[in-house]
Amino acid sequence: MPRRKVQRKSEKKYTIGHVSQEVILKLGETHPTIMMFQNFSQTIDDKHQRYERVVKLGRDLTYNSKNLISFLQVNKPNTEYHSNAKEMIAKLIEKYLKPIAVELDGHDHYQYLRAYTNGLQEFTEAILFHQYLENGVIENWSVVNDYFTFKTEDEKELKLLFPQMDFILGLADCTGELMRKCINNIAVGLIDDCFKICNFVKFILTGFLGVIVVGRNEIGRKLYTLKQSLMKMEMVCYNIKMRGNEVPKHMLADVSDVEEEDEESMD
Amino acid sequence: MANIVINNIFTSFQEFLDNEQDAREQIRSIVNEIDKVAREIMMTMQVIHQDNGLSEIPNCCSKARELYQNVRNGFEKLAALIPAGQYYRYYEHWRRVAQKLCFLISLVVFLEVGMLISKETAASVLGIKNDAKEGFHLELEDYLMGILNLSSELARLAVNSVTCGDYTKPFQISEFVAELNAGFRLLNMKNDSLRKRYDVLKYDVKKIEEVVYDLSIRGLKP
Repeated sequence: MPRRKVQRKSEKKYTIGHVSQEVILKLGETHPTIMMFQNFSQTIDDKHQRYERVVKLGRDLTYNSKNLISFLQVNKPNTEYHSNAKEMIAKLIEKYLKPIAVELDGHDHYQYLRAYTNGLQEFTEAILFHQYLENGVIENWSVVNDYFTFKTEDEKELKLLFPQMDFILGLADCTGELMRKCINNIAVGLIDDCFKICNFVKFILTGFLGVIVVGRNEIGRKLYTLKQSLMKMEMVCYNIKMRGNEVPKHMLADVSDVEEEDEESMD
Repeated sequence: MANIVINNIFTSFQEFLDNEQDAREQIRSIVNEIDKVAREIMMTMQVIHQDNGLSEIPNCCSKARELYQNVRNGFEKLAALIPAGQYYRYYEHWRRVAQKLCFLISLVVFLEVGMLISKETAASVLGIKNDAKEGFHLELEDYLMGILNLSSELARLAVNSVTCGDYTKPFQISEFVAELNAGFRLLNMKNDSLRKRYDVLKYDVKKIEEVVYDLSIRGLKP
C-alpha cells in the first residue's frame, strides 16, 4: 500500500524533499552558512584528532607503567635494579607525559583529561610503588605533581594537569601491588617487610575512611578492593604469627601459598 | 612516620575536595539564576505558536531581547568565578543552559530577519567570548545543539503558521532548515550526543517538507 502512495506523489510536480534538494544544489561553496560550517568542521576535526592522539599516548603510558610495576615486583633489589627502575621512570616521563603536555599546550587540559586520566592513575601507582620500595614511604601529591613540569627545547616551561583525584585513585590501586609484594616477601623470607607493608596499608585505609566525598566517584569502588587486599594481608600476618612458632622460617613460604592462589583467581 | 605522611596526603586531598565542592555550589546557584531567565524567555517565545502568534512576533522578540540582559549579567558573574584554563572542569554545569539560550536567540534572530545567527553573534548576546582562547566562551557544540533545537521548533512553527493562515512561513522555514541541513552535512561527527541530536534533524526536515508539499499540491503556494 505505501508504495502506491509514493508513486502517486511522484506523478505531481511537487515531491516531499524537493526543497532540500534544491537548496543543497543551490548553495555554493561561498554561501555564508556553508563557509561557517566548513570552519566548524575544521574545529571539530582538530579537536577529535588531538583527543585521539592523547588517548593513544595515555594508553601507552598505562601499558608502560604496568611494565614498570611488574619489573618492580619480579626483580630483586640490587644496583642494576635501582638504576633500571630510575631509567624506566625517566622514560615514562619523557616519552609519554611530556608529549601529552606538548599536545595540550595552549588548550584547556580539563577538556582532554578523560583521554589520559587512566594513564595518570597507572603512572601514579607505579611511582608510589617505587617510592615505597625505595624509601618505605610515599610522597604527597605536590611532590609527585613536580613530575608534570617539563622544559621544552626552547626553554619554555610546560605543565600538565595532574588532578589530586587521580593521585588518590592511583594510591588506592597501589595498595593492590603492595599486597602482592607482601605475599611475595614471605616466599623469599622477608617476614618483617610483610608486617611493615600490612601496617602501611592500614594507614592508607584509615586515610580513605576519613575522606568525605560527595557525588558519584570511583573512590567507593576502589575502597572496596583496598579493603579486600588489606584483609588478605592481615590473614597472612596472622598465619605467620600463628604458625611462625611451629614452622622454621624458610618453610613459611608454604603458609602463604593459599593466599597467593586466592589472589590470582581474583584477577 | 608513615602515619604522618599518609595523614598529610589525605588532609590535603580533603581540602581539595572541599574547595571544589564550594566552587561547584557557587556555580550551581548562578547557573540556576540564568536558567530561570532562560525559562522565562522560553515561555515568552511560546506565544508565537498561538492563534494570533505571528502578529505577536515583534513583541515577543523585543521582550526576549530585554531578558537577555539578565542572561548577560548572569554569565558575567559566572565567568568571574571560573579561573582561566578551568572552563571544562565545570563545563557540565552550564552546558544545558547555554544550549537553551543559543536556541532561543537563534529563534529570535530567525523570526526577526530570517537568517541563521552566527556563533559570534550568539556568544555576544549571551555576553561571553566566542573563542576559547579569550576566556569564558561559547562552546561550539552548544551552539550547534542550539540550532538543532531551532530546527525542531521551526518544524512546529511551520505547522502552526498554516493553522494561523500564514502560508508563506512554511516555505521560508523549509528553505532555512534545508540550509542548516546542508551545513551539518559538512561536519564529521563522532558517535556522540551531537550526532544523536543531528539525526533528529532529518525528521524535522521531513515534517516541514510535508507541510510545504501539502500547501503546494493545493495550489496554496503564495
